[in-house]
Amino acid sequence: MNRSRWKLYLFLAVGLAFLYIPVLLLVIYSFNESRLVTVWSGFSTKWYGELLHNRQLLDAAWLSVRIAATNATFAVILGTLAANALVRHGNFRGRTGFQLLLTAPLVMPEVITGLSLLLLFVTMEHTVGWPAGRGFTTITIAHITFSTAFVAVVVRSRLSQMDRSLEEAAMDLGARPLRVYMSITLPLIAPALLSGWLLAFTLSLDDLVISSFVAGPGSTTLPMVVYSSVRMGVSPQINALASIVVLIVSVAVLVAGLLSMRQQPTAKAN
Amino acid sequence: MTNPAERRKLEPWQDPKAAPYVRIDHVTKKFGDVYAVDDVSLDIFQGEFFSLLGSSGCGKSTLLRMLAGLERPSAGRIYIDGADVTDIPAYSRPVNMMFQSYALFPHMTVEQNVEFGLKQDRMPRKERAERVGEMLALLQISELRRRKPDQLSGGQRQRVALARTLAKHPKLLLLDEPLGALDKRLRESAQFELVNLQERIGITFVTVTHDQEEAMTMSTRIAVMNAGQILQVDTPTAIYEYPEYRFVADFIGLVNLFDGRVMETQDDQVLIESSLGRRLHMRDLHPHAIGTPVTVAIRPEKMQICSTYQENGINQVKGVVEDIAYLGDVSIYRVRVSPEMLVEMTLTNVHPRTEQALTWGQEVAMEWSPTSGVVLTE
Repeated sequence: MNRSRWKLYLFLAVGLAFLYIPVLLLVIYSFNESRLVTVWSGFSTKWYGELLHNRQLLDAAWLSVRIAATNATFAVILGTLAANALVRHGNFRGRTGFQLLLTAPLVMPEVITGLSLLLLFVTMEHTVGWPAGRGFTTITIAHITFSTAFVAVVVRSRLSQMDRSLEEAAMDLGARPLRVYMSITLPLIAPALLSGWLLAFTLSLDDLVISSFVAGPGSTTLPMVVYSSVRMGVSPQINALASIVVLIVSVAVLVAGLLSMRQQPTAKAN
Repeated sequence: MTNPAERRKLEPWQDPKAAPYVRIDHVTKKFGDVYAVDDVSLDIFQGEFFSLLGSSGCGKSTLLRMLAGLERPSAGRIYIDGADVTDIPAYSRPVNMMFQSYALFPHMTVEQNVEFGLKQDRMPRKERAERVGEMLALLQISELRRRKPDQLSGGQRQRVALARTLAKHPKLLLLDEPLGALDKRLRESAQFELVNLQERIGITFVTVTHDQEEAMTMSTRIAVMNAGQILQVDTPTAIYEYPEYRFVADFIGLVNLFDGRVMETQDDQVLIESSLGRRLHMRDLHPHAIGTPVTVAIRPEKMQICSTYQENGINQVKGVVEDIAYLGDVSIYRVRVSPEMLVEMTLTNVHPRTEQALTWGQEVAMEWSPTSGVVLTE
């Protein structure tokens, strides 16, 4: 029995190594002194220092964060409304169609989404004059279209697990429907809203394909900068930047995990 | 015996002039093509502890939810205290409901749960705090006020749920399987507590239950439901002793049912030729015509051991003990009287088990008196 347990740990180690050694290498090489990314010549934090003076990279990072946050907020609002419609309004006419359309962006090839959105934006600019040019607005709208689908899936599962009689009890005690939603439903699905927001945020932050289609001059997101600079030859600054992103994402995932773990017992209690 | 006026106060349903507190008037509820509640009419009086009893899916919960306003009747009207509430939404009704799952808000403390309904009424903070304190004291849960529902035991949750529904001083309290989530021991003490509470605060209670013992112990009256309809509304005693339908007799407690045909009638006495091949002599409060197919229902505890057995004796039957269920205080004997019929007889265990006279395989003759059962047609 001890033997087989030892083997299980080995499998686990191999699996984790496969997934995370590349990331680990990236972090290690971000402290490399050499200008050549693949040659180790000593420890240094100078690339982090240089990163702070790279306006192009910082601007792109700031743009990406702004897009991601706006996108996540709108996606949570729309996704929650969609999940409510699906879980709470029974078999309304066109429910199946709505469900299909809502989940389509999850499986749609990004190239198609990107291209179709580009066509839409160009046509709209010609006919109604909005959105003028392409940049922050168009990228955000594009991201909202697919993030909403992800948020809807997350919120929907939480909503359908929720005990209906909690809302009925609140109504029975004199709360009107809007009040019931604000004081009972929302607090109980809050963990799903938060994880939906984080999911939408990260999806937006690392999207390259769709952003490339709908971005305009002067609105280059972080993944686009990284991608184009890699083609020119990688600067160790990219390693430093990537390490920072890895750090932020890890913390966010950890916080989301802790929050949902703390919510677990109350989610089941009645 | 109490005088008639006092009796009318205790049993308002006997008084033709008494105004019902809750009137359910030809109410029907359809889900798609299924009739959950089918043309039900019912009067419930102030101060009653009224039970809707039936197996799951008989429509009792739907009826209760219609009283609460959580379900809209497909047809018919509902009146509470004289006012038509059929179209009034749940949040404006002077009615509160305790849910089967208790439905305590998991993100609020006990105190906040109890306070929730009062907040909706915009009661001033000071009054609110007083009322919450009163309710917590009434149900003896003051020391739990800062706990969250997931830190409470089943019995404690039930008390919090009760405190929350009572806090708004409703005119009518609805309870959906109030004791269903408690274990057996707790349930028995909770039954008595609930009845005491109801008598103390004087609110009309309507409960839904599938547990006949619970309904018998707690209720002033019981409505037995089956397939969306009410079969019989009566006091627990009347339901048990004088059921009007085979279903009611069979649903409440144990019963022996003998099929037969009316042979002779005289006043309220009736002679029945039964499928046992012998004659039964019964008192029949609703005399039936000669030749009517009837069923005689006799409770097992009304059966007695017969010392003067005759081959053609009236109200007598003989068989062999096949099964004995020892319940401590009583034993239920299942006696095979014919290849296709078992008769149940309950005897109090006056002597210790080992000294009982009856044992497996023993032949036993049983009898009963003409007034100890009822004659049914449906």
